[in-house]
Amino acid sequence: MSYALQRFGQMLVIVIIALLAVFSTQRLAPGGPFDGERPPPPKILENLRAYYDMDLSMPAQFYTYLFGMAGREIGDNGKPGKAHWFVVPSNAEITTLGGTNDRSTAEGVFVRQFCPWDQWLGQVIPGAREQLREQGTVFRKCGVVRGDFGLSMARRSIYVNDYVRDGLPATLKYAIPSLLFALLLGVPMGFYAAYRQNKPADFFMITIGMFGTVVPNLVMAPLLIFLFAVQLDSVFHWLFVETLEWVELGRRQRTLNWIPSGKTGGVMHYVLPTLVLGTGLLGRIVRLSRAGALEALRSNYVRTARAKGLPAHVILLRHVFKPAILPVLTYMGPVTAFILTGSLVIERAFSLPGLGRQFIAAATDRDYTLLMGTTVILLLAIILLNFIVDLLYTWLDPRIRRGGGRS
Amino acid sequence: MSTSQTPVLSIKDLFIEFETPDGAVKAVNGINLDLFKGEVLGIVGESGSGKSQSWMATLGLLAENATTSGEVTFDGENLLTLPPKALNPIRGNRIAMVFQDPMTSLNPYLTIETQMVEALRIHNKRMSKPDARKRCVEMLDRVAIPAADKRLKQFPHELSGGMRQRVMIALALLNDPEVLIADEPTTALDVTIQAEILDILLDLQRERGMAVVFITHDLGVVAEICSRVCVMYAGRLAEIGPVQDVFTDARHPYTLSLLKATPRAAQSQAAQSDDALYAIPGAPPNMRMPPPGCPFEPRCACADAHCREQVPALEPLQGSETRLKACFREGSSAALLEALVHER
Amino acid sequence: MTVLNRERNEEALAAAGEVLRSRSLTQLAIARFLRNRVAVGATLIVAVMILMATFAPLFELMTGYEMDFQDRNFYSGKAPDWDAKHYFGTDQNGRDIFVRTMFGMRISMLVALVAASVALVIGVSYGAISGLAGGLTDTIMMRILDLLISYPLTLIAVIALAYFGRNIFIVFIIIGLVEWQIMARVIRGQVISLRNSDFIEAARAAGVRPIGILVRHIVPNVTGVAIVYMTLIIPEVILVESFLGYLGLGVQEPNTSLGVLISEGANAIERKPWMTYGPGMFLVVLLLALNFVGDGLRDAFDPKDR
Repeated sequence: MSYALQRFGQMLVIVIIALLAVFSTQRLAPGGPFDGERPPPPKILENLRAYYDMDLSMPAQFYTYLFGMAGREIGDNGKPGKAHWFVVPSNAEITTLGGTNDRSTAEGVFVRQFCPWDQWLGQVIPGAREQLREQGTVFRKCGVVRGDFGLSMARRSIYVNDYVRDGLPATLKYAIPSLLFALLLGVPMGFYAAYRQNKPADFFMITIGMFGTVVPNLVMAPLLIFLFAVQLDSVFHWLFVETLEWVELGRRQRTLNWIPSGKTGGVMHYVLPTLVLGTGLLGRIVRLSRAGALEALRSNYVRTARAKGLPAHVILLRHVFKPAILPVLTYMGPVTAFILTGSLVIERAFSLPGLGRQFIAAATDRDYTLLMGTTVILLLAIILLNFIVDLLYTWLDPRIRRGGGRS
Repeated sequence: MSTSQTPVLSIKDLFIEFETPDGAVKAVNGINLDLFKGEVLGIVGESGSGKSQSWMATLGLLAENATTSGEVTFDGENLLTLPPKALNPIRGNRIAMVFQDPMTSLNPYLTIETQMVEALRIHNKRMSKPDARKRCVEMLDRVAIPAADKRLKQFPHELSGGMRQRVMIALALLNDPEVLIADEPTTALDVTIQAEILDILLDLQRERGMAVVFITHDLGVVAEICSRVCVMYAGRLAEIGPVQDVFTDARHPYTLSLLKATPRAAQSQAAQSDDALYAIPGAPPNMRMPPPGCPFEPRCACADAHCREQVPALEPLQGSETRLKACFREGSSAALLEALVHER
Repeated sequence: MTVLNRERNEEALAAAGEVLRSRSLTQLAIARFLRNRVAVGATLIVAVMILMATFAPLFELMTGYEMDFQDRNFYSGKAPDWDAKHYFGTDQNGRDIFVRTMFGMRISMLVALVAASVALVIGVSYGAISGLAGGLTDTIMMRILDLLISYPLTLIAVIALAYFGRNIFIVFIIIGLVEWQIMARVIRGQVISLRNSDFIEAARAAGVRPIGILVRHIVPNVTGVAIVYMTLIIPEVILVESFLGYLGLGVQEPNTSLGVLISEGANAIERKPWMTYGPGMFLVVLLLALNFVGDGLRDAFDPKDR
């Protein structure tokens, strides 16, 4: 119990440190989110900065980011037919400023929270909140602590939460299958290779391991696209459509497109990304589980098991499995890191709308809020997986289970 | 000790070679040996003499890079050529083994119960789990493990070294084997625990009348528990015979040197040479390139040119059925001893 | 009994260390490495590739196409054509991909050198400080390292490059900052085992000052390990560079790297697949060969792993 609490505290510290690091990098780096190729007029820039709290001091900005965001309604206030969703902390004040959207000059209602130690900029409209509430505005609490990452800075009408809600499933749709693919295939392969050490089967597995480890995602992705989406497709087309005339296709449809590589949804779009990420993971997992199984097979306790007259499959499953799977488990931390960096490449190669792409877009567009949001989500993913691995570890290794905590 | 019986297990012309990146290591070079029912056979030799490997080979437990030739006959079958499927009903069931290092010989990830019950049930397919458990508790009681019921649920790391070795012995004896191979079972343990373990082992041996092969480098232990002793050097047998005879009248220079090199509190003044403990000069031969003649020749005080060229065969001593030696040199122990002392 | 004096002792110790090191360890390791045919073959391949990268301008002379030269006859991406000396074809702008691959490999090699050195310096200092300090400092430093290994520093490199510009040396240094942890861990292990070893004990007993021990005994003994692990870092570093290049965050035009070339090829994979073949092949072969060299060296110096 105290162990779990300790873990939780550790996670909290890590997330806060990471947030602080990204936050201060953003504010210290030259340039900002609003100076694109055509910087907006000074007045609008000032409004935008105020709108995103960037006119506050750095500690104050971090505070408001964590514990409550400025309001987020841009322009067009009061136009009929448009639903307004105000995000207002309980102790917020409401002001009006000039148009905050560089495309709009309309007056906007501006809501923001007092930061305990910072000077308040802008003017306060007494009674504005009541007025808004009368108009049917829903107020809700906000800030990262309440699970709200605020509004994107590059595309100022989209919430970071919505971005993540779209991006996370898109990433998970190929990340989880590829991890399962690698584990379910790689561990037995590694075990089999160790069992048949120095035989042709072992050599074959080692080659696969080496291949998967060394061929980078960014080579594998275009290669598979070319093989499956271009070459095989035309072969199939030639074979079934032109030569055998088995498949009736409309004139305009030139290819079968049986494993599409482009965007748009559908399960098939995730086959190639899964394969690319999966082979990279597979290579690493084959190598690790082979090494683990080899060590276990050479151990004295496996010799004892053989001396007992146990058949090979019992030895492998009962005596070798646990110790050999432990190095694979230990490696799950770097595996998450590999998946995350891989997602940047894969989502670009296959134009998938996942977290990795959002991360890159956020970094290159200086979308501060989006970058912070995706960073936190990625961190949480890593932390969660590490936590699961720790639990599995304690479950598998009796010496930790009863000894109380790893040293 | 009955030597006229037919042997339970007999080794004929056993050779073992290990393939290594730096060349082949000839670990065992032609061993001929019979193991008789109900005897305790001591195998003595320094590390690397092939004493463990030759018995591992009988159970097919050698490392992957080993090649064997020769015959190990047990119940009419050659164990060396049996496929694992046919070997499995024998090992752990009719021939069992206890290993040197109790700390690593039990699987740390499984409970004692799992490891014992599986050994029983793999050979007695119809035995139920509760029955198997009961048998395990009995066996643990037999090797003097207190609170056996509780111990079954524990993991190896929760037991002391002595406890683990008792578990190993219990494990080996679960299926009432005809042959027990004990590979330095007490080397890793404290002296007091050593004695207890040896007592348990001997008791069980007498009770069941099984043949025990006791591999060790401790001559004191051999003298205490063995009926016959077999001395090995550089993958060959040097001398075989009843313990009493060999220890009082060693006929191979190596055996004699070994005996002289062993510190013994109760040793007679005469045998204990006046000053320091005797040490055999030189080092064992490189098993990648064994010498062409007698392997002990480079370190032997009594060697001559003949020894350097030809390997002496293991032959019975004149006038004795039970004793064999592999040395060209004839003569009594005293004569050999003189040569040794003279050389120093 | 002879009176021990510090200088003589130090000399004797150094001489003993020298003999041990030069005879037994290094020579044995080299012999072991030379026996490993795969590793020796890989070393030759790496050597050839280093030569090709170093003399990349020679290929400009050989083919007659400069790196940025746009072949009007061949304009807009043609498949490989040996008669026209476009061995890997041309890109959309009619630039020769073979020559560009050679120059891209040059950048990759440069990264291997500079970034791996950065990683080496950081890793060795971190590991040495942690190992020498011991106690609480060591525990904390190792705990931090444990955490860092599970977190993708590459992502931080992406942020840093996006924010602080893409000057080639910034790229190199940031990549070096990503890949130092394994080095730190290995060096720490080595330093600790040295610190507890008998000959350091002897030197300390003889009154050699800590600085003397560090310079005379620890540094020379750590160097070999550091070099072995540097060869293992190099492919990682090249991979990170091509990763950043692929994302458009690495070196910028007119410079190019293998990653950038693959990225350009990947964009046109459906119609101009040859744009990926050349650079992709060179990257994979380079990584493969470097991996074999690194593994071979590690096995040669640390045979217990096998």
